Amino acid sequence: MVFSAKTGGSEEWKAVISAISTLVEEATFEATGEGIAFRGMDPSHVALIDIAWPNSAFEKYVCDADVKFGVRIDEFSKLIKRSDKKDNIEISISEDKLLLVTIGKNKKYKMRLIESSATDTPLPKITYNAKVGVTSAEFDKILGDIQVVSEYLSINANPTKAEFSGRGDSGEAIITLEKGMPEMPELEIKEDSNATYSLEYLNSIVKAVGTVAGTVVCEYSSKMPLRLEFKVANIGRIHFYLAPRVES
Amino acid sequence: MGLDLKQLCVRERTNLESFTSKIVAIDAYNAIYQFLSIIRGPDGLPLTDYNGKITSHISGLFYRNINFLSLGIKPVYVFDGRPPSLKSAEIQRRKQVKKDATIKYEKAISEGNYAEAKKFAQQTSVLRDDMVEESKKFLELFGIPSIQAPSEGEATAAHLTTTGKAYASASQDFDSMLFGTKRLVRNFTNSGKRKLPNRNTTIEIEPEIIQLDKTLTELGVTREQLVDIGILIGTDFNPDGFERIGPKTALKMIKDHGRLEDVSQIQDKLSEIDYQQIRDIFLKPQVVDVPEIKFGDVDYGGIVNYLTKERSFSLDRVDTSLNRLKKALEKKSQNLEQWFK
Repeated sequence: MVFSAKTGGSEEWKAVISAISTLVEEATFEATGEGIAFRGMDPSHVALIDIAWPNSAFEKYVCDADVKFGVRIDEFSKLIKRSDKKDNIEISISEDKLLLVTIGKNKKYKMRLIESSATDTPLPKITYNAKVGVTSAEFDKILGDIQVVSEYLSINANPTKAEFSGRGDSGEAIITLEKGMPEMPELEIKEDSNATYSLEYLNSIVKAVGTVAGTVVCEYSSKMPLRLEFKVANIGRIHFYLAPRVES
Repeated sequence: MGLDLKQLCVRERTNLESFTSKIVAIDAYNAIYQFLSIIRGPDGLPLTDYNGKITSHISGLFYRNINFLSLGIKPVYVFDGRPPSLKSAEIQRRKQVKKDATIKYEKAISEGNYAEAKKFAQQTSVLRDDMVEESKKFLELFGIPSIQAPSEGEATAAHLTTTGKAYASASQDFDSMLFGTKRLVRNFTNSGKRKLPNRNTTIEIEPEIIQLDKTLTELGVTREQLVDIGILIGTDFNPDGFERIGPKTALKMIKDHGRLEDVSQIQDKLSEIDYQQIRDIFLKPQVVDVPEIKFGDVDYGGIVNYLTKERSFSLDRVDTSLNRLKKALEKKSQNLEQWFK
């Protein structure tokens, strides 16, 4: 079996690891001819991350047989953090089942792999009636604005505008983006939709990957899960699914 | 005393969060006895209300279930019914332990040796019928269902897992494995430091999950053979087991010979016990089927009333805990499971 994947810099792995670390402590990656994939949920199954990292995004990618490898995210993260921004990172798996990580020109690590107990995670089956694309800088700001008063973000979108709002003991907040505003490059509405999601989960994922993604595309339907899509240069896409808040 | 299967089971670390939105069938007697033995004042005596009635079990159920419900876990308590008659020797033995401990407790108190006294006090826990009834009524205030088992609670709890009504059963006793539970959770509580009864040390307690099929595959035996192994080690129905046969030897004997009847070196002793009946207790247990497990709403007012007016709990502490629960329930996000179908 030959598997090796080399990135052009270290930001890609840093983004992938920080995204995954918001949900799980142990991660199982799957490498195939097409690229590297990860899918996993937090222990309470409220949120799910689905990453498809195509072979074309790598500087060099070889995989002649599918392979799964599990790592402890904290261990992997510490090691990747030893890289400079411009360092290439090349990973492969040794015969004695260790992860070989080459950072830059002269740093080589060997890291233990863990046996993956993860079962295959399905994807939620949802029809999305609303699609709202917001620049990631604006989306991060909105979350901060709402958090002043609330632990939840409600999104209410119709064909002319999208409203982001929150309500708590101290009061309410509402941020309106009209169609055509530069902060919201995309607004596609099949049906007016309104749903509420936990800011705690949204904040951590946006902090983790928002900065490296140009836009965040929110897709959802009333009282249904939200799917955030982050397009990250040299990774491809990261999908983040989040269950809605229970309506009381 | 429980069955010593610990070193044969495949035990995996877990956490309470992974049981969110899942139904877990709890061995009620096992949980309540634990509360009675652990939740005690500095003098080693259980907590009581102004009438002198014991409240350790109510206190335990209160905090434990607030914790479960806050995390979205759905507990259902399974209470023991009539024990199988073969258990009488074990029950007699337990009674004697309690009697002896009571005598030792009184002696220690009269000598002013409080550390000793506390140690013995913990062994004297008795769960009376009125306490069982109180517990059931108290659970009802939380909207938590109780199930009355016809015989051993663990058997009905195991049955709930095999019929898909519950995800796992929770007990400290490994007997649940012989009763065929799909998944057994031990230390079903928050991880953290716990004081060991009778010892002045604390240990780190972490919930662990044992899957029956994984354990059977790992050991390379069938469930019937696991029951035979249990009988060799000693169950509640033959508490002494077989002399000089521990878990490892028992496993080897059954793997080598297949079943009790074919292990030649134990035949004399085997003829003295009713092993066929013990097998039946585990493999064809008396259980009850429940059509549907229903959870109700939390009756906050009812809980406050009962605890503060009837059982001498402090209003402040009850309020603080209930507010935490209220907040957690309001805050809950649904999980994604329902959209996977």
